Amino acid sequence: MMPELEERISASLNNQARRISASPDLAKQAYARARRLRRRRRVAGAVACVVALGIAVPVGYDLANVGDITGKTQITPVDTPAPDAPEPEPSERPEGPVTPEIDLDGLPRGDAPSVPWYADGILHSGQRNIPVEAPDEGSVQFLPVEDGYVTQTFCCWDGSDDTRATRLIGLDGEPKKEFPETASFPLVSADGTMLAWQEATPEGHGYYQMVAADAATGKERQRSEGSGKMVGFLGDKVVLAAELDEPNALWDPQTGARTEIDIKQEILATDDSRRLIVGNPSSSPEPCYEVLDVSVDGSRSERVWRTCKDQLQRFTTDGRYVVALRVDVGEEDTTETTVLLDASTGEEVFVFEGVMALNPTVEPDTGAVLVEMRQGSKTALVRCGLDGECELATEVRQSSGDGPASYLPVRSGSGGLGFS
Amino acid sequence: MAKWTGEFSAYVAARKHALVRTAFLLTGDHHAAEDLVQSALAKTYLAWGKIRDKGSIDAYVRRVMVNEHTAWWRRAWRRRERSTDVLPETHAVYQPPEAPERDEVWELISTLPPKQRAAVVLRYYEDMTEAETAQVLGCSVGTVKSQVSRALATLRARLADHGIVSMTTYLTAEDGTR
Repeated sequence: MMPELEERISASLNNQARRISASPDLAKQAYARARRLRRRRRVAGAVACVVALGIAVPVGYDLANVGDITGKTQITPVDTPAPDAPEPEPSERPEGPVTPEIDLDGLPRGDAPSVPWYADGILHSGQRNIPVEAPDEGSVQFLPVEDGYVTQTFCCWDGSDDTRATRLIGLDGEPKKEFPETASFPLVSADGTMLAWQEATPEGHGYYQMVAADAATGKERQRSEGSGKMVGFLGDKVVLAAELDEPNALWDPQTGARTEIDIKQEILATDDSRRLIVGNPSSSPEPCYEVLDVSVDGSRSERVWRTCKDQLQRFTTDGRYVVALRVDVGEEDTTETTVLLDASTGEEVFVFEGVMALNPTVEPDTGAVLVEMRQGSKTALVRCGLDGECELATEVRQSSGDGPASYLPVRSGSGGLGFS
Repeated sequence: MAKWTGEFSAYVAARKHALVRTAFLLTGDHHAAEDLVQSALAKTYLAWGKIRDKGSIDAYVRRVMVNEHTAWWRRAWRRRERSTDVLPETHAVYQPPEAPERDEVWELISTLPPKQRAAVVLRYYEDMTEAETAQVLGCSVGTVKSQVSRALATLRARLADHGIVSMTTYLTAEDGTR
């Protein structure tokens, strides 16, 4: 006889399931998805064949001429970038992408990260150890600002709770400002002096309070209401991605003025200075992405490069790379690979295969890339150089939940368009 | 159009409600369940010609669903990276067509890690044997036993915390004397 608990589980599952029925167009939707999958597999196969031929038959075939297959087109950037926009340094490295072979147990131990990082309630920043109040099983997100950090902690990986706490803290860890629970994680201007965020309004979906504040003190400078999703700074303005059928726009944190910009695609991320990542609408069967250079007032934009191969997510904090996700849909399993693309050319620079590599961050002093890495149940921060050599920047730890044990700064950006 | 389109359509027509129900128990969300089933059916459609034993289609679809759902859940790890995408606000909570009474057992099942939850759903909703469950999950029978055992222990403990299962029942089960 089935014990009481098992009986109760069985009864509960049957009770929940009997309320559910499939929508009438399930088969139609499945067909449509199958067609998209098949098309993507063919494109992936074509790329693999072209690459294989390029290796096997060295006849000097210029992949750049393949255009639509490689999906990347270079166009000269516009000549009027936003003021003070730093030009990302060109990468000096060997031919082809760096594809480090990672075995967390076998990596040598190197120095601790030279960028701020978080573990076990402490935000490490150079010689400073700043306490951050965070739940044990939760996650921490942070960004450096002038004289402090913005932090957001949330609980928990198992989805049982979704509590967030967002704060502006000083270099001593003391809170300068508590953000309301309805606030998004603040965006930080490129110079670290300005914060911008959105708060949900009682009117509901699509309309928000747009707020800007001084990053050093937390003092509010501007508050206005409107629609559009804040995706990042563009110089001293904030980019509002289109929602509610309104166009993309710039919001001026000084005046509260909103200016439409003539970009039709969905804006996904900015480098906080002059570049945008955009994509075609998520309803498209073949999502493609572009990096655009945009003039300071948003009136002119020009494509820098384009790809239909990877989901572009965000720029690294120094603007040098674009973090992308490569999704390979197999018959039974889906694999995801983190790829770093040169922000100026779209060229693959790092490909992290066989591991979960999150949140790549460039160390300014070495040019090496730090990633939050997970392999099986083990996690660590790992540093990889352009020579393909990697080392541990923190000790290897067992992950207690499903998240990493140590965290790097997180820049605003998108999880990407809707691949199925 | 593939030559097996008719067969596939007939299969979907016959099984769609059952698949969505299982997917709902895996995901806890009706929309996510539909999405999961669509994804699994799309892959099944593309693989249809390679599946010789059409009697095993159900097991194949369920296996794809479980794998896909585990992958989705793992992507929650990336949720932090996406969190700037999401502005917290009052979400409309999915309400099943019939307003249900509160089901605390279901609420606790919903907190299980995805593989334990899948093992529980396959064993106690689909009434699969341990061997059948192992086949769908792509693991050994021993792993199924340990996943189910851990899930039951977790549920017992949490139900005891909620005062729903008596402490005597809980302790007896913990002692392995049941």
